[in-house]
Amino acid sequence: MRRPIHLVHQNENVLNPYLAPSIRVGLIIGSAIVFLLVAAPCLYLIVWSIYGTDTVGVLRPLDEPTG
Amino acid sequence: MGRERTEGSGALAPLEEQVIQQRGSFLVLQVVAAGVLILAVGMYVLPLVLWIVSLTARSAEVPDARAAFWSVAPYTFAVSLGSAILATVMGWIVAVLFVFSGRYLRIVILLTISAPLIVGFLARNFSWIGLLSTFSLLNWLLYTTPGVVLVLSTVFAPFAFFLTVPGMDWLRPIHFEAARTLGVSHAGTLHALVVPAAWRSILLSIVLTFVLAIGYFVTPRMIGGGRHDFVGNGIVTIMDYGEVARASKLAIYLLVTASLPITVIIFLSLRRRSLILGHR
Repeated sequence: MRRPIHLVHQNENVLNPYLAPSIRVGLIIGSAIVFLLVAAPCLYLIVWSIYGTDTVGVLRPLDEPTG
Repeated sequence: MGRERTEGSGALAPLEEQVIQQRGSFLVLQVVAAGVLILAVGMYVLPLVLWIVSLTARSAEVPDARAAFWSVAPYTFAVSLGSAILATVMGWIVAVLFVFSGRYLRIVILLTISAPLIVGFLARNFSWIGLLSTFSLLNWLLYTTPGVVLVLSTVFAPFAFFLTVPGMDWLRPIHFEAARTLGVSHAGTLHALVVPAAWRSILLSIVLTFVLAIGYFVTPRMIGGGRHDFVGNGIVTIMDYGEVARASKLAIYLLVTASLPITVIIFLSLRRRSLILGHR
């Protein structure tokens, strides 16, 4: 079925309207997960530097023989 | 007629000047690029070739590293490929969001995805160990292969993002308007326009992040806890025993084994210059 062009121009939001709402939601959720994963160590470093937890205690020594 | 021609040539003159100026700036760019290339060849490729030649010449004296290589190479390649694919998926999702976003959202995305690049390498690894050991939900990832894959993927996701964006940036609203007018659904436009536009840059991203991954040794050691070593760890261990030539041999095995598939895929991706941009 052909759709008139003007229908394409509806809903001009932050994300442009050429993608279906479900795809836009999927993209936003997917990107949020990626941002969380990518930024998690940075955020943890900030929290770590402020509150100074002793999680370093669980670190395995780097020179431990390989198994 | 004569008047028209005069007017026409008058209008063309600034355009010609512009073209000449553009050619001039392109020449400057070419000279700079050639300089950088010569520097790269002189400081990296030439010493590498000389080292390989000298090592080959006294190959018989150097202890073999084939067994050491094959004990870690399959694991290195498998984990590197897994990380490269996962990183590309992550980077591509953000790239699609970036391409379809307005100006301000684009700035936010750029800042967020670039932020990890300014965090120190070791600090990021220690931070991941802290994260994985602090949260009981994530404990199972620490010192395991999935943990190594996850951390490597998050390291490479920004690179994948910057590699996949140019592949889709040529998409214009008019393409979508044409597709929608012809009756293609929303999901159909994604399948018919966005994916074909990006697949070459996706391929390139997988290869380049894979190349980066196979050379890693600190992250596999730290996140893998010494039980999930890469070829790089083998090289470092042999170096620790002072066997530089044997370690070099191991490095050359890695270079040769990885070069062939990488060259083929890069050649396929860059057959024509337009393919880099995703044009068909």
